[in-house]
Amino acid sequence: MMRYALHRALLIVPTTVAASLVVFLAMRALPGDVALAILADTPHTIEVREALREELGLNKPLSVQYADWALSMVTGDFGGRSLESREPIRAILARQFPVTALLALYAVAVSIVVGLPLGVVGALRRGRPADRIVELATTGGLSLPIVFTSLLTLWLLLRLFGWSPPIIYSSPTEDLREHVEIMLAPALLLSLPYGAQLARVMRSALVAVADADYTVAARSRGLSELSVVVRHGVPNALLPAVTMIGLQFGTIVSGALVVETVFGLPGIGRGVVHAALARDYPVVQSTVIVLVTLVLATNLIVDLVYTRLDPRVASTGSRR
Amino acid sequence: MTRRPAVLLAVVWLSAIAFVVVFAGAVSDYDPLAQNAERRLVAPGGAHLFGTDGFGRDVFSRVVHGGRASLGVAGLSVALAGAVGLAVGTATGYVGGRTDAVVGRVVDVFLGFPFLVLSLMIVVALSPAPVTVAIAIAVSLAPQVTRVARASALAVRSEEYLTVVRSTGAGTVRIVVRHLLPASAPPVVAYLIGAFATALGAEATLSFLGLGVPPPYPSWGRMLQEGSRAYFEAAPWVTLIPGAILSLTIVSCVVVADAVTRRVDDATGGSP
Repeated sequence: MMRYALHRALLIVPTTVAASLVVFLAMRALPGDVALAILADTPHTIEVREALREELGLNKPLSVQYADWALSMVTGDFGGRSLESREPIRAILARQFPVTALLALYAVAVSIVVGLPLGVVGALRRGRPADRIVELATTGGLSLPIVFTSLLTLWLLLRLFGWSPPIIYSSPTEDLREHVEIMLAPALLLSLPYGAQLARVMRSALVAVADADYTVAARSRGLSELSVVVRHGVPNALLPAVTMIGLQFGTIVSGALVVETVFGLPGIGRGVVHAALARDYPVVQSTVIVLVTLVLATNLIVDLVYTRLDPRVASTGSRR
Repeated sequence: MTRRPAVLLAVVWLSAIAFVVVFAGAVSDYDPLAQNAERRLVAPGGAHLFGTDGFGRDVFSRVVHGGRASLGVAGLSVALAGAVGLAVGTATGYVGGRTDAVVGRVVDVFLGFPFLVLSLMIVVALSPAPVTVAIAIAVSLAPQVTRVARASALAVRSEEYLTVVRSTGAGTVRIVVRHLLPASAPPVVAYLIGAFATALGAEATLSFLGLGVPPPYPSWGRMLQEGSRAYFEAAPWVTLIPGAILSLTIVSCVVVADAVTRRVDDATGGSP
């Protein structure tokens, strides 16, 4: 078990390095002069442009630039300062991270609490009206774009309750009530696609185990259908559900970009969008790789949980 | 034909959208860019079916012409991702071995990026314009298409009829194009219909965030951005009508994609 965990953890390193190369090269693929592109909208002297080139390290060879950046990521410097605000990127990320982490946590929690039971209901009532309703709801949740559901929700809140999001974010320790007020709608909206996906995975996994030998055996012992599903179906169906929680975590991050922008949450998602619009390349570059690392780390954690749940995985060393 | 009313409704909606967008000039009475200071923020109805926006531009015309940009960008990105993904996925799935392993690792790296984050990064790197937005979305879609195409090719590869074809001495290219693809492509096509929905959502989101189709040309996402910024409370129709049309189109694509996937699975006896 420990060896397997270590093996998996080490595998994440080359993937992260490869991803950082993709990010680095994408940011250098900009046609023409990066410094000129950044300064395009502002009148400037050649000295200013040269100073910027110097600060961004654009005068150095590409390999040195990459090494400098990679080293600063590892040592916790996160690639220097923002071009726009001059704030250290480490400070920016430290400020934004808790907001997005809490938002993601709430969204995943809501998805599990609502999505899993919906999947069970769909499987128990397979082909009946309740199943159809679950299918309809999950189709909507999966496919309605968050950008629209967010704006619609914001408008309804404005119209019905005269409510608009608080301008200043409060952490749970500062003002719990305000925190709930500002986080509630974004977390629910984020959980729509994720929870719907979870419900679907749960339903189809339950349907798949419904005809398994042990399920038939349990039924033949005279157990009620509900207890067959809860005692034998759910534990087995949890495996694919847990996998999905990890694989689809990127959905939450993508959604966070939108809900944070619409509801004015000062998280990483709104931060990276803001940096992109301001052509704040160092911030975009470092934030993107932090997000990718987060997704990869989540995948790893889920993978290890999966191993705990299904001992067969560790003994064969691979799940494929 | 299908017995599910939802699929029928989705097909009807998509056909209507396609018709309106193709004949945009004939369908709309106003120039989507023409401003009219005297008719700003007119409510829907009367001369302006969907009302007007803050510049007095006709929202219906902008929705119709904006559909061209949105559907065009989504279509281009799916075509690009489909071509690359199908070629690479089929080739690696059929050939296998070391090539397959290397490409698989590359695909894994790209799948580590949250979809929108990857698109955003590429748009920033290439600067926002319709074609670069399409490329950005295509790059984000391609790894997933590759994965689906590979799995599909892998499933067909060891079929008996291919062994027979191989024994006749047919070349690899001929086997893949004439015999493997007809059997392995349908799941990929079903996937691409769903990918079109994803691409539409991504275009709208990027444009909404200010990283998509540049002004003044309308796209559904740009309309969401413009409408929700300045006069969301006073004139919600400027935002919500294009948003609703976008959503219905995306949901319809997903419903059709689900139906096609189900049909393909039934035909091949694939996964439930």
